[in-house]
Amino acid sequence: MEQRLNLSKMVLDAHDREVIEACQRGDADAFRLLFETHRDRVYSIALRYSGNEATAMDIAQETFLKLLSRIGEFRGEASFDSWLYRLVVNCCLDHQRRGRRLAPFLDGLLDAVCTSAESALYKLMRSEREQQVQEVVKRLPAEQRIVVVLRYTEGLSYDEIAEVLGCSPGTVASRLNRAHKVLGRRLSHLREVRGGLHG
Amino acid sequence: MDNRWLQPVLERGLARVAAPGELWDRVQLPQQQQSKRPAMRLVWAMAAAGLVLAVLGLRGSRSPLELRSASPAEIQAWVKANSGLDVELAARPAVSVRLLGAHIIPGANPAVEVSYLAGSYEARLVVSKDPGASPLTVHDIAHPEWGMNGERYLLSCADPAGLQIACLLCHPGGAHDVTLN
Repeated sequence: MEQRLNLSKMVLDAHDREVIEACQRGDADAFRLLFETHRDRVYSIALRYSGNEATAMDIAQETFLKLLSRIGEFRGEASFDSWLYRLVVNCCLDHQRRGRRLAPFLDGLLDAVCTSAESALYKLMRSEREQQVQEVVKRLPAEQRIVVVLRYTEGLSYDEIAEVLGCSPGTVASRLNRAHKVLGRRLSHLREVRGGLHG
Repeated sequence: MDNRWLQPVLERGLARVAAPGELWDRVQLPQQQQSKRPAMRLVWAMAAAGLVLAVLGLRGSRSPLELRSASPAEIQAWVKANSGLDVELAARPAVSVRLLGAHIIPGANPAVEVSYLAGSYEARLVVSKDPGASPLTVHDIAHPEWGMNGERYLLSCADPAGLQIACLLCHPGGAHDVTLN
């Protein structure tokens, strides 16, 4: 988990602070910079949570529009990363509550077949395995799913996840433990092929 | 239960991915539109739009789709077979675009309507044979119109905010090169 973030830091570094303050003054370039810095993170959480590219785009768009409209409320008392995570997590949960469309399973496979730049078979197999993981994760209850995504897509610690979700680290551990049991059972067929299809 | 094997499986299966380039277009467009319109004009526009929608609601709903399909190739072939019109759709539309289907608009100047979702907005591409014919009529609010290859095109969307996303139907690379009046 190389991309571990220090959410507990209370002080932004000078550059982050400048960019955020410029955003708060309505500086379009600063917003673009903020967008470019965080776009993959926001989209990935949305995609891994929803399991659907179009839905992920809707969620990511909504997150950045909310970020823009609420950036003035950010006071730097907590870390910006933590604030942004809360924004995207809330958008994910809101989106689910509104009952938007769910992912057709074959979309990812079709993508792999249509964009065959590297070995088509290799890519298809890898994509199929990723899809299987994604499908099983998608069937988890929302509170377990968001913990799994923050843990494995973002590499956050239990304490960091707890800070984002506003619950205790014990609750995070319990949800993750329950999710692991379900995922371990439903993905057990991938245990044997581990190492054969590394990305 | 020993679940140590599960961690690398989940890390690979749920790894971070790159966001599509069109995300910036989708984030930028509502801002541009907001900054272009003074508040009072927006209020008047919304009031007018509400009135139009109310009137249209009394006139009945849209025609049902004769073909329901999410496949650009299938829609293109069906349109060609049923109207003679050759509507060029991107083989792989942008991820924000979800095709719904098509139907033929009968009349002296036959036209076809391709329906789709642009993000969460309903959008339609209307194509007719005769570029010199009277303008196509649609019920939506935003509708740029243009002629190309001897055909008349009209793009419509119930919400102006969805219009630039709607362009992704034929310009899947992004809306950078699409200018709307």
